[in-house]
Amino acid sequence: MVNHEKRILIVDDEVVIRRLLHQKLSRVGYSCEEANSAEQALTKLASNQIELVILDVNMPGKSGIDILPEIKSNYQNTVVIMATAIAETSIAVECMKRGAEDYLCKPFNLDEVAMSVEKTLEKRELQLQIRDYQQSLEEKVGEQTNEIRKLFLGSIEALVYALEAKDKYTGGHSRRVAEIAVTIGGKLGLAEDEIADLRWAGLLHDVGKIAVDQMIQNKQGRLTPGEYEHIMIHAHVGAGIVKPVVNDRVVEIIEHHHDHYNGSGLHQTIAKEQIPLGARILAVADAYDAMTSDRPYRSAMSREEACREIERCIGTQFDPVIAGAFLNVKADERVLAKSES
Amino acid sequence: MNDMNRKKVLIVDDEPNVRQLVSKILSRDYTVIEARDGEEALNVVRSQKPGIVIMDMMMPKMDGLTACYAIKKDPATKGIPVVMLTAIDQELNKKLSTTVMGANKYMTKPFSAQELLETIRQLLPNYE
Repeated sequence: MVNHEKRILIVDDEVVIRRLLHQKLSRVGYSCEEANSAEQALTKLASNQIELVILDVNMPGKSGIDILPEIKSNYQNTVVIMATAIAETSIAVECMKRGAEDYLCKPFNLDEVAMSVEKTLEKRELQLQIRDYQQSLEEKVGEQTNEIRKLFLGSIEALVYALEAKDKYTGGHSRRVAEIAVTIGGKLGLAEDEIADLRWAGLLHDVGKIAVDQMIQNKQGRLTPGEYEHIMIHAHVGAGIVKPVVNDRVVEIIEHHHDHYNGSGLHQTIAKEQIPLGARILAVADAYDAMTSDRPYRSAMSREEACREIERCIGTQFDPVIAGAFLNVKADERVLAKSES
Repeated sequence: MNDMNRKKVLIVDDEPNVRQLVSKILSRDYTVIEARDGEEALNVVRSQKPGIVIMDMMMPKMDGLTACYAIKKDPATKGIPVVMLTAIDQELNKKLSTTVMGANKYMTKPFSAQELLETIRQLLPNYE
């Protein structure tokens, strides 16, 4: 009989009742444990695998109602039948509301008890099956969501590369900016998800350049104020483009990556710590990589020159803490490079 | 109608014949002001506060997208409706102008006089 594997815990302070139930349920094939109090019931539950509890409502010390919530929350695969005197049916109903599966009235009709136990265990089987099904469904949905997200981000990455391929000056810029930003984030001790945001924002920060006029972007010589303003729309356009596929934090980082720390940037409405941390980090990373790369209107600066320029703009364009962390990273790199050579 | 009470419409396009055509369509009901590029448009918007701006997307000096963004970013001017005009009916441009840059409507050239008048009637704020 299947019932052999099912263990039942009988909780009642009256030994006669425990024995009666024990005998009956053993006879129909269940294996039984007994507990004479609520406290003992919890101990037995902790050390034994119990499928079903018959729980007396009225016991000295803690009552069955007292420990019902604890049983339901700690042992989700265990079902409970409350046992109560006839006069207390309203209490039994209350117990059902709190999660008990069934209730039995004293004095017991033993056949009824066996029937209730069987039904309740069947119900438990069904509940378990449903839970398993939901769990595997959730896992599947989770896997597929991840897969779809990967494809999405992959296609945006492809857009980044396509964009950079069009412009000989910015090849690899986004990837380098992402790397630098992640390094600064690490130096500042950011959490893993903030680092992940930085990586995506770094990679995507220039996708808005798709809306920028190529003639202006590749112009030799200084930009007019109007042309500069035109190029700067890329931050807002980029944020708008990636909004459907990345989280809001990444969108905000991209939106504000050209903000100046002191609030003096174009169309800027926020300053200092109001600017998202990631945007302040990206600003330093972006500026450094831009300065150390060739541009249509100038050739690349040396790393030392770029570092000096960043230092010069601390407090105006750049956050002092972030620029400081970045310059420390660069100083460490120089020491390492010297020791290797 | 009294000239003082007439609402101002700013038309921004680098092509004189487009500006003339729009002026002709609108001058019966509105005071039409003109600008030739985005930079001029921003100056006029800030100094004269028109009731609505009809602006071409592609122009020299400063394009329509950039000017639209500047209008919508400035608290003093962001309430002014902007209609983007373009010769290219492209979904990306439409999304860029409206969803991203905040333009209130996107119209492709050629458009009819009726269409333009209707759009302005819909968007122009009903101030006294």
